[in-house]
Amino acid sequence: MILTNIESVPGMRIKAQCGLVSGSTVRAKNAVLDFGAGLKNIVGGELKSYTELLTEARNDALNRMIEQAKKLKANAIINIRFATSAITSGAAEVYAYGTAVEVERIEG
Amino acid sequence: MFDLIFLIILLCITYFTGSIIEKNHFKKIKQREIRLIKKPIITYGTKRFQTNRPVKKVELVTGEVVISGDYFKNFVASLKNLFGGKLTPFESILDRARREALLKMREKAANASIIVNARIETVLLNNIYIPNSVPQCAIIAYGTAITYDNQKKL
Amino acid sequence: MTIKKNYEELQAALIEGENINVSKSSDLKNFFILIISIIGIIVAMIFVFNVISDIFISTMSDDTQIKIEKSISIKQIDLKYPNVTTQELKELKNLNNIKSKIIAADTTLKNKSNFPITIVNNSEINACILPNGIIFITSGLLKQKYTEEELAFVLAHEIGHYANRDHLRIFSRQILSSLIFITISGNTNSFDKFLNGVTLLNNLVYSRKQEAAADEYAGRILIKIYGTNNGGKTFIKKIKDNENTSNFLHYFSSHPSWNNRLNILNKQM
Repeated sequence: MILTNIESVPGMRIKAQCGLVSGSTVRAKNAVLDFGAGLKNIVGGELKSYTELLTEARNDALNRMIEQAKKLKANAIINIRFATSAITSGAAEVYAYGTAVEVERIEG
Repeated sequence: MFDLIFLIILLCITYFTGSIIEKNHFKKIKQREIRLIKKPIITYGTKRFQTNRPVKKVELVTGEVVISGDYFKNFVASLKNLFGGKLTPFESILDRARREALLKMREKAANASIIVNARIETVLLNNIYIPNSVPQCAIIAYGTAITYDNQKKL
Repeated sequence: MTIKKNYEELQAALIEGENINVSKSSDLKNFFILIISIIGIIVAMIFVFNVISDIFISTMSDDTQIKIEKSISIKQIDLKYPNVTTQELKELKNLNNIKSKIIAADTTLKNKSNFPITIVNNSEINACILPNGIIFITSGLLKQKYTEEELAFVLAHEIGHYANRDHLRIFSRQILSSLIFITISGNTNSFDKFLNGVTLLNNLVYSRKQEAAADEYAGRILIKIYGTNNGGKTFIKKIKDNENTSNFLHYFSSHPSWNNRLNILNKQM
């Protein structure tokens, strides 16, 4: 699966459009992480555990989107965007969406 | 009275630790930015990317980071909230978080020739409408990394 | 896509140079400026509010006083105590006699309240007055067998608080502290505690002034009734000697020192 956030796949030609695909995940901060982060909050700096959480959330969202695209028999997703929302305090939604397309290599 | 003494000690400690961490972080960011000046070059907002060169690999690269302010900064900011105006203590946190996220993205695409249409998305980890929630800045940076095939000729 | 010739140099200069997105002003400087200005504003607020409320309360007419009292005081209070002994009933009668003498001595108290007296079963030596004029006296105080003049001093002191409108002053200060709490809202918890201290200090300074004024009033009333304020002096001396064994707490918290209180009474003669 080729992922891009531009309107095309460089070096390839778009053969067919397959429609919109999206993937979302809501991740909550857990109490153990929160405790460590609370301590770190006093001192300041990067919250490594939260960064990992965010990476996982992003991966989840992308994977779900890719799964959808596979079902549509697409081999690339273009124009991917990330959107986020805060549903409650302590939980973050990461939402990825894009256009699934079928591409083929331009024979040079 | 004990509360006040505890508060003052906490403010002193977090001021020093916070400023040391921030200084070191900025130093590291600058070093990494200098190292990555040439490769890969980033462009923003180029949705219609056209190239005539042969392309080896196209992939989505992301970089994410969560950064929190220290207690001292939060305290100053909450005082500043009474008067309004620029929340200067948080400026450096946001700047650090954005640059760090971009750097992580660029480091993942270190072998790519160019990152096209880089975007920065802010994640709200804490509900801003709930008072006393700790200011945390979570950033996702993403873009399309393109690697040219240098062996093939045009 | 072409890239500018000296792209690298320009980029490096931007990275190494001053950070445009971050303000130059240091957090520490900001912190001190903010703390000083907040303390300044609070002190100014307290000062201005105290001056205004003092002027308002001392020039207020009796009608408005009664209106305010009605709106802030407890409407109904059960004054019957089942375990009152015959001895205590006798003393209550005695106290009521002294009270009517005090009310007769001060014409300004007319039409305001008849100051009902209640005995509270408590071993401490204490007395207090509610905003609507109800006086509480502990059974511990009655056991001490004070003379009539001394009891008159205790009652006159409590009635003095009422006559000086101290309950309204305390009420106005409570409004002030809640005003400050509202202004400086909830997201600075530790700061509220600091503020609490400021208002407490303000209360203590004023409370000492109020106690001195109530003592002065009681002394004046005693001179009017008995021709001398010796009752007050002997009462204070007795309490002063007993201070280690019993604590003389008051509804209106902190008091000036016993010597200061004696001095006030001495000056009157």
